[in-house]
Amino acid sequence: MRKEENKKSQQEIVGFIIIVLMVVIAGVIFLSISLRPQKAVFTDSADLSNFLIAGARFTTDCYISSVPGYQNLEDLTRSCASNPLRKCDDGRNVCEVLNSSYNGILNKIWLTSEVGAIKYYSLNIFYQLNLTDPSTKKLPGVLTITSGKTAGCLTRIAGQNPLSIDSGFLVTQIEICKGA
Amino acid sequence: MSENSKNSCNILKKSKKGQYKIKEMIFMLLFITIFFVIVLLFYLAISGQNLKNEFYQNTKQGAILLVAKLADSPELSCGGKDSVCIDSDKLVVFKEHSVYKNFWNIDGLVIKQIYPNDLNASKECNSGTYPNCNTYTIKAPVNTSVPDESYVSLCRVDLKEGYNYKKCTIGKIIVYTAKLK
Repeated sequence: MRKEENKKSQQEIVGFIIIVLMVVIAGVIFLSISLRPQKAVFTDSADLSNFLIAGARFTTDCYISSVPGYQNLEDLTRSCASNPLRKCDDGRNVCEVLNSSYNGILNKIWLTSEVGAIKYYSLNIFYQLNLTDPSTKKLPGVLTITSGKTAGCLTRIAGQNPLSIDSGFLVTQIEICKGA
Repeated sequence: MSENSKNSCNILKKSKKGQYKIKEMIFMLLFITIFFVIVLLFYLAISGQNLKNEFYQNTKQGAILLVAKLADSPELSCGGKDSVCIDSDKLVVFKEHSVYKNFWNIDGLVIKQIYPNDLNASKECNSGTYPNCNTYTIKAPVNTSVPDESYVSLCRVDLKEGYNYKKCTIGKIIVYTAKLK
């Protein structure tokens, strides 16, 4: 009788421990899912979009008398996309001026360094048929500029400025990776 | 032993067993409740931190939109369809009139040209230095205020070889507002 009672008590203790263990494991799994670091996703930034809009109006020193006038970056983007062989009056190719102008601006404003806040940036200009459908992007695009390394990235922000053209849009997109 | 006393003995044993089982259940329920309360506290602390970050990001985005709206006001904007465009010819005149210092309900307003910027230091714009300058302080910021900024185009009419053309540079508009307590 006593042996039976002892066995019963032992069974109950074991059952109690199993329930406690199950609850603890469930709690640990739940906490680990909640604390899992989120995959870095590019967040759309109004600041970067404004930067691209302001940048598109930047007046370069490329003068085309047939237009006539000094070309801003939006004009150069359209020219480079539709007629890449076009030249400024001083003989420079419009795509070269577009590239060097954007390089100058990005190196000044978003200078990347291993120790600084900006780790990496990437500027892309490409065709996109439908802005709401990313699969309609046509790559490689008109221009690509990158600088820095993505190692040490904590936050990623992106902005874009679409220009309307006959066959869809010319999208200027910038992605920036910031560290600590 | 009489049957009655045997029965009462059994009843006593069963009652003690029942009491023991009830105590066991109470302890287990207490333990599970305390455990879940601890888990909930941890979760609230972590999600509260994420909420803080989200609030900060949303506030910053809101501030950027406010700054862009300021840049589009008729007193400063280039006019037409151009958004986030400030007419620097209008700006230098606007700056010279102290009556406009309190035009908007903000603690400070500064507009800076950031590219190209060949000047090593900040040079205040006025009728004497314009356009070879890079800073337009419309209202000097208060020490305790918080800056929010946005990129803008700074455009003016320039003259080259007898030809007038619109020249635009990249600038920043910085709005200072009171700190949130």
